[in-house]
Parts: sequence; structure tokens; C-alpha cells
Amino acid sequence: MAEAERSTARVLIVADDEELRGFAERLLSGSHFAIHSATSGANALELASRESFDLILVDLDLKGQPDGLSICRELKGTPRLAWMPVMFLTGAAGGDLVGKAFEAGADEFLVKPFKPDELAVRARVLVRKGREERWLVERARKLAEKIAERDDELDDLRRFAQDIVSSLPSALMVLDSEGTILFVNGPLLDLLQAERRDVVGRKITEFFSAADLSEMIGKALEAAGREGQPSRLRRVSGISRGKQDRICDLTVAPIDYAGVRQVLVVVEDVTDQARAESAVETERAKLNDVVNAMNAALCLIDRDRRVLWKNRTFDLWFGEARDQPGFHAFRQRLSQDDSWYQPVFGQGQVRHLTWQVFTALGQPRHFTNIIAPVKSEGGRPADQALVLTQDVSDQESHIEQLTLLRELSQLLRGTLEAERLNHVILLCVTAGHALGFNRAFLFKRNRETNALEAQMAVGPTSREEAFRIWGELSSQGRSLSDLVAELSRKPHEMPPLFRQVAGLSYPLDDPSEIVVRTALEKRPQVVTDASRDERVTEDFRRRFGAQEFVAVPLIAKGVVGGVILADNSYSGRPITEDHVKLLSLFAAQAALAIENADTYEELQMRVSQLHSAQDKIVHAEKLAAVGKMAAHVAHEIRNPLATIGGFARSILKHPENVERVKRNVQIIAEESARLENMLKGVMDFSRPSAPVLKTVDLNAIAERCFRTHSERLAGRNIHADLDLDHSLPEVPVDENQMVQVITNLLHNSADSMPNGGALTVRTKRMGEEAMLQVTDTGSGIPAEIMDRLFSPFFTTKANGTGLGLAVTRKIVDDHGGRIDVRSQVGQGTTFTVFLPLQRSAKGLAARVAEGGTAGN
Amino acid sequence: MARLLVVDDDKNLRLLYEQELVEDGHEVSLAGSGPEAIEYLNKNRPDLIILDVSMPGMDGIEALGKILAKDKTMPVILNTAYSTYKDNFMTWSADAYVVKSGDLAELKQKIKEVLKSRGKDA
Repeated sequence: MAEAERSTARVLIVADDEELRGFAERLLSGSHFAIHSATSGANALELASRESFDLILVDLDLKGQPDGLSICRELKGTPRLAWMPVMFLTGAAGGDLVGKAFEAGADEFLVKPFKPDELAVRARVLVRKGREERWLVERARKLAEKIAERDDELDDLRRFAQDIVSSLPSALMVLDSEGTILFVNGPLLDLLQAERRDVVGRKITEFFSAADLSEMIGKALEAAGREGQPSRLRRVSGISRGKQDRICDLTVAPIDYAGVRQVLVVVEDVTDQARAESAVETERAKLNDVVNAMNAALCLIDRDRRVLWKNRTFDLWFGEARDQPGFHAFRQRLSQDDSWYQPVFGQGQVRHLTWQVFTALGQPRHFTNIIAPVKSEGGRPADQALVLTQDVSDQESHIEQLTLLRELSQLLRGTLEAERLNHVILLCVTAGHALGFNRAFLFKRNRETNALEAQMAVGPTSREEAFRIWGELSSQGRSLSDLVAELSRKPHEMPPLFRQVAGLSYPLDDPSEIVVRTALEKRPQVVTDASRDERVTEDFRRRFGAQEFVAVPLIAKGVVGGVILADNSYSGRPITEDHVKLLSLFAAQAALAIENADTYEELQMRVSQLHSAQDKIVHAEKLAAVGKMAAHVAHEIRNPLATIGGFARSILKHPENVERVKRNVQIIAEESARLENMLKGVMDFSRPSAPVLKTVDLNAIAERCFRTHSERLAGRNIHADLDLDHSLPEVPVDENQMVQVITNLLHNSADSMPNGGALTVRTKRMGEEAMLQVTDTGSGIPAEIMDRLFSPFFTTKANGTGLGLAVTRKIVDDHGGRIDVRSQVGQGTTFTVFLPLQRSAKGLAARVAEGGTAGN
Repeated sequence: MARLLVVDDDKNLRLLYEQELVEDGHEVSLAGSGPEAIEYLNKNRPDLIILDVSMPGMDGIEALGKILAKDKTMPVILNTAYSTYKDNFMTWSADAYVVKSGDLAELKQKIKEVLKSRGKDA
């Protein structure tokens, strides 16, 4: 303003009246005004638009067009010129002229006459005001220019941003608070296969569907302006025109644009990825199904034996959580020290592990583990190992079953005692892994009473005892064979459970009892709910108290010999079809075993009967032999006796006829000689015929005799031994007679040991003789009868013929050998036979001479 | 008096029978075996035959059959050491059965009875 006042103010005077113009010039000259003039309105406007004036004085009475008011209106209507102050001068102010002037935009109005000072003062005021206004206008103009420049810059920036956004590979869009799409970029249009005009202005939900899309946008808007974090929405299906629907991940971020809340949505097309993932997922699911369907527990462990992953079977077997007992037990089993795992993690080897656990129901399970390293990338040592756990209890069961049957058959050979056998059978039913029932009862058919009688029962008598026993079994790890062996060693005692059923008997004509029904129908009966099963009587329920049980018949050779009853009344383990099958199979074996034992028992009885019958027969035969010999003797003796008697009587009648007496006595003498001879022949009657010598193996003969009699000896509790000298050469003997010799000696020895003892048959080469020896630990031979030992008809036995040793001696003599006997009463006896290894002339001669008479 | 044939394999027994029966007034012929007796019977007809049962070769039972086949009316006394021969039904066809003894009284009594029953005086 100071500058405006100081400088000369340019004034334009617009007047066609010369006087007025001069008057104004005079008034203003010398007061720092530079005066310019215009004589017409057009001229004034031209000047004003070309040059700026600090004041324009306009004569209101200006003639022509434009007139004064028009000039004012024109100036004030032009923004660039509007700042210039306009003052009207007029000669007379009539009507509403003043109002019209101000209405046209005039700044001042002076009416003549006015004082000279008044014009100058008013002019100065107007100039100052105009200048101020002009500065403001200029200022505003410059500002406007700057704004325009900024606007251009902003436009550039926007274009730049849009270019960036458009060239971004990511698809994105901006939404308003209502979810209306305000902006989309190219990639998003590509994604949607749509034109911009089809997208902008529409709702996002028309293109993308997700349950919580609207909610997310709402949240994003709420968060906008605060610290809004972008949130992600995965796997949203997008609707694309022309293309298959796309699967997208959306990132929703709040933006605050010029105070307006908006939402930026970045769209990521993950269709291919999702499909790949889905394919992988499907594969994984399949694999998972396989892994889970596997009847094997799988888990992944790290070097510290932590379980990183496990399949469903694992959960099923060992529990899902670490604190479950099964899981704990599993980890316990894998808790070998590092050195055990060294081959797995260090050398990449596979290791095996087998272990056994008892389930909560007391059932033993067998597991095998295969621990295989999982290969790391880049050939580093394995960090993890896969543990494959298989339940081999079934295999173990089968092995167990075979073992069980073998045990049983082995036991059969050793133990035929019925009661013990019953016990063993039930032991197998209860203690074996294969069957493993809690309790078992054995009923046997009594043929005499025609009833099934309780014979044996095995199992705990209470739940407490059951768990104690399982605990012991688990810790001691005793096998079934151990138990059976133990049973065989221990003196037999009645199991406590048996006391509960001892004496129980079910008549076979009462089929209402399930035990009887089992026997009659010859097939297993399985009862799963005894309280509701009509096959079970109230009495049975009370007595056995088992809710679920199985009864199987013991069938041997088509005949039912009994019934086994088994239950799991303590563990409550369900009885499966497999159990029943196995039990039936076992029952068939057991039935045979029982049958065998019974048969054996009967056999024992029969053998004993046979023995007594045989004794009788032997006695009768002996009598018959005596009779036969008596007949022979009678025939041979009667004739000479009759002859002798006849002639003796004849002599008595006529003793005087000496010739006749002589003749008769001669005959009598002949006949008595004949009788003597015959007596000798009586002995020969029981004697063997002449030996037929052949060079044979004496050992073989001795062994054959030994084998023939060993069973009988064993039956009489005699321990028999064979001690053969295999360097013994062949010996010339009559084989049949040698058999008779050895047999006789064996019989004598055996008879001397009625309460059992030991017996040895021995051969040995003694120089030029073969030695055959039978030694016993029998009663011995008293010295007083020693010299009569070999006499015919001499015997100390009740049933002896007295010919055994006599014949033996004769045979040995015939062979040119000799027999020696040494005995001590109460200690035993040794008979030793010596036979020449070479045929001796003397022996043969003796034989031939005697053989001639032996034939009679 | 009668003609008797004694058949026995025992020579001294034949001598005894001959001596005793001759002294009783019989005419005694001797045969040492069954075939010998048959041969004798081809030419002679004795009133009575005393036949030993136990003989080697053809025994008395067999000889009896052959004798009776030739002449079923021939009186025969079986003379044996065995009482058991009485059980053989063939012996039933003999007229008498005498067990050998040093005392010939029974034999002589039987001879008398058989001869008497056949109308011959002893």
C-alpha cells in the first residue's frame, strides 16, 4: 500500500465533455496522479483492457454506446479488470441513478458541484482500495496458477500410480465401504475375463463368494484409520466369465483415501496351486487311508525317541495321548540306549525288536517292531526313524497252539494219569496265549452213571486272585511249557477252583443243562448273555456265575467223552468265533488224549487180567506136558513092568522048573535093564535134539533175546543193560539152542528179582573162548542147593519144571562149552557161559554120542 | 482049548503070553506086528486074537480094522498099556479090552469069557 501511495496513480478519465475532463484534470493534477483520457466508452474499455489503471473516472452522462453504466458493468464483469475502481461523475443525481450506478458495480459516485478536494480525496481512497484489490486478485491468480500446476502434478501422480497398479501382476481392486468396486486393475479383469465397465460399480460379492467375505470387508473398514492389518481369506472361489471358476486367495487391507474409508483387495489366483494341493491332499488322504487301514501301528520318531507322528492303528493300540498307559509302555519299549539306535541313525540300518505286553484285560500281545531310518536330504544321517509295529499275537498264538498240542502229546507219553492229564488240558485252555480263558472246567462222562461229572477246574477263584496271577505271569514271563513242566514236577494237588464244583454231576438224560446239551448235540455252545439265555438254568447261573461262556464237547472217535466249559469271567474279554474254533480244535486233541489215557488205564487192567490168565494157561500147559510125559512113561514102562511081573508070577507058580526059572529070570533081567535105560530116556524127552552148529554172531543173538524181553523186564521194574564186546568173532553155535540158553538165564534172573533190580547181559572175548554172562541183583542162590542147581526136575519155583538149568547145561555141554555160576544170597547171581571159538573134536564127539540116544 | 494068536511088538511080552497061555492048554501062535498077523490070518483061522494097540508102523487099531474086514466074526481082545484107548470108538468093535499087567488073571478071564460067548470052551 505504501508503494501504491508513493507512486503516481494512473487515472483514466472517460468523458466526452471537454469541460468536465479539464475540470477533473485540474483538480487532480499535482496530486501524484497521471491523467489519461478516453473520449468514448469503446476507447475506455480498450485502454483499460490493455493497461491497468489505478482509477477510472466515468462520466455518467457519456453519450453513445457503451454508456457509462455499461462500461462499469463490463469492467466489473471481467475478473482480470474487476479490481480497477470505478467512480462516476455526474452533473445531476436524479431518480435512482445512484442506485443503478452501484448496481453496475461502481465504487464511488460524485455529483456536481463538489469541492475540488473532495474529488482528490475520494480518488486517493479509491486508488488505494483498487491497488489493494488488484494485489489480492493478482495473488489469487498466482495461487490459482499454482493450484493448477499441482493439479497437473497430481494427475501425473495418479496416472503414474495407475500405471504402476495396472502393470502390477497382482490383481487388485478398491472397494468402497459398501463393497462396491471402485477400481480394478488389468490383471483382475483378466482374471475375471471381464471389461472394466462390467465390473466397476458392482458389488464384490457378485464376483467372489465366501461365507465371511462381507464380514471381512466390514472388519477391514472398521480397522481402517487405526492400525488395520491386512487379513487373508484363503481359497475363495471366484466367478469368471468364459473361464473355469477360479480359486483365489484374497488379501483385504483397509485404506484411508482422503478421509474416505476404502478397502484394497489383492486377489491371488491360486487355482492351479489349489488343484495341485487338492491332488496332493487326495493322494495324501489315500496314503493316509492305507496307512490307517494297515493292521500295523506306524509312527515316526526322532533321535530322542519322541513320537512325531502316528497313524490311527497306533492310537487304537497304544492310545492317542502321551500320558496314556499304552503310549507310555510303547515308549518304554523303545527306550534302548543310544548305542542300540546307532545303526539306525548312524549307519542307516533297519533294526528289529520284539516284545510282549499284557493288555488291561490280562491278554498277552506280541509285537514286532521294524525300525527303519528315514533318509534325510543331502545324504546326511537320518534324523528320524519310522517304527512299524505289527501285532504278531495271532502268529504267536498259532505257534503257541502247535506248541501246546505238542506239549500235550509229549505229556501224554510221560503222564497217563487221568487226573493230571485233566489238569494239563485245562492248564492249556487257561494259561496258553492261544486260548487264554480265565477259567475252565472239565466234565467227563461216567459210563456207569451215564452222567457228566466235574473232573477238574482251573482258574482263579476271585477277581483279585486273577489280577495277582496275571501280574506274576507278566513279570515272571513263564511260558505254558514252564507251567506244564512245573505241574509235572509238583505233587498233584486239587486246584482251589475245583473244590467249588467237585462232585457236580449232570445226568445225560437231562438236556436242560447246557453241559449236557453240548454233549448231546455234539457241538460247541456259546452263551453271550447267560441271564437271558434260555439254554442256561438258574442253578447253573448261580453255580458258575459266568455271563459269557463257551462249552465244547470232547469228541474222540465220534463218541462224546466229556465237555470243557470255559469263560472270561474276570477279564470280560469277549469270546470270539476264533476262540471257539480253536477251543474246539484243542478239545478234539484233548478228547483223544483222554481217550488214550482211558484206553491205557483199561489196557493196564486187561494186561493184568491177561497175566493171571496166562499164569493159569502156563499152569495148565505144564499139567498137560506132565500128562503127555506120563503117557509116554506109561507106555514105555507098562510093557517091561508087565513082562517082569508076569514072569515073576510064573516063577512063583513053578519054582521047581529050574530051566524055566532061569529062562524067565533072564527075561526079567533084560526088562529091568530096559527100564533103566528108559529112565535115562525120560530125561531126554525134555532135552533138545542134537545141535546144528553154524558160525554166527553171538552178539546179535544176545541182543535179539535182550530186545525180546526188555519190555517185559521194564514192566517188572527191572533195569536191563546190554554190554556187548563188538570185537567178538563169530562163534559156532546152534542159534535156536543159544536163544534157549539166554532166555532161560534171563528168566531165572528176572524171577530172582520180584521187586525189581538191575540185570546185565554181557559178551566178551576171553582168549579162545566167547563169554556170555547174565548178571542180576536178585535174591541169590543159597549154598546148600548150589550142587543140585543143574539137576533135572530140581526147582525152587512154585511153577518150575526143574528142567531149565538142566537143559541149559546140557546144551552148553553139547557145544563143548562150560557154565559157571557165582552167587551171594541177597546180592545177586552171575551165570557165565564159555563157548569155544573153534569147533573142538572132543565137543563134537560128545555130541554125536549123546545125540544118538537123544532121538529115542 | 483054543487056538490063539498073540500080536505084540514086545518080544519078551510075547514069550510071557506064550508060556502062560500054553500052560493053560491053548495052542498059541505069535505075531510081532500088524502086517505079520494079517499074513498069518491069510492061512489060519485062530479062535481068538490078542492084539496090542501100541505098535510101530501099523498100530493095533488099524490092524483091528483090517482083521475085521477079513472076518467080522473074529474075536479080538485089545491089550494095551493105555487105558485111554478105550475112548477110541474103533476099540468098541473089539470083544474085550484089557490093560497090560504083570498079573495075567484078567486077560485069562476075558479069553475064557470071549471063547464061551462064541461057543468055545476055554
